[in-house]
Amino acid sequence: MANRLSVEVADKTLRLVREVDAPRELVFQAYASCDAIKQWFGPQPWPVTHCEMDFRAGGQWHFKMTGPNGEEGWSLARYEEIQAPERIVYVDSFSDADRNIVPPESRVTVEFVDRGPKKTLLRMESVYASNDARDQVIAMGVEEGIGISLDQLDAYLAQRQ
Amino acid sequence: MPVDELSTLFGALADPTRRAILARLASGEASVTELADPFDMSLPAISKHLKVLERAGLIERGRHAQYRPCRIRPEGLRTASDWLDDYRQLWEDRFSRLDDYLKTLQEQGGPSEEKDNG
Repeated sequence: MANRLSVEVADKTLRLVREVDAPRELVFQAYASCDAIKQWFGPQPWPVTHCEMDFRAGGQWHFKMTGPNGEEGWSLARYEEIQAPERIVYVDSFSDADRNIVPPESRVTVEFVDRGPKKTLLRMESVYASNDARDQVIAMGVEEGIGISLDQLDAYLAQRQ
Repeated sequence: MPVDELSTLFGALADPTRRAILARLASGEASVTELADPFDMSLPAISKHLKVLERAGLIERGRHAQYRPCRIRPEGLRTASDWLDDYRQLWEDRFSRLDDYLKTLQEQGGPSEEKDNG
């Protein structure tokens, strides 16, 4: 039985909290390399098919997920703070293949809380510039999850800007 | 549902007083006066909260001029929870893969030393 995921919608904020049955160092490492990210970060129909990561403050993580019909979704994260093995802060957004940012942006803080030899509490908090931006991402997460084409998503975004 | 409507919905649900009003209405319809009493709030203050809830589609109000009972709109609440369910599903899927990955690593005794390139 999987651990319970808590999803909280707060002011300009999305918060995910979940316990993971592994030591903190290992969970931290799951965020710290493309090898690791490729193993888990792509949701089921959207594997991570391209990934470059310069894992240090000031560095970038640029990756692509590919959808069931060949759709491409690029994202860019710019690391602001890395404190192994407890905390990663980055500014996250969608992007294109050339690392141009597609709004909305959010500042993501990932915290790894030691809860014992084989237990880590994972907290991911994304703070957006506005509640509209936050809800746009909720809506996009939905579309990614069910694999609606990114063309539709682009049209949707264009209409929102 | 357009994103601004979704924001209205989450905005309405974010306030503890409004959540308490919804909880009260879940047990049956009530007038503004009946609602104001247990919350120890003025009628205008309650009315303001009710307007926010009504605009978000979370409650509806009767049409009688004097007595306009408020009642919950279950479909409004369901909309909020449906949107969030899909977002949750996305992350549950991710984290369950993370579980599998970490389990494999622990069985192997540590992360691999492969290089990171594309």
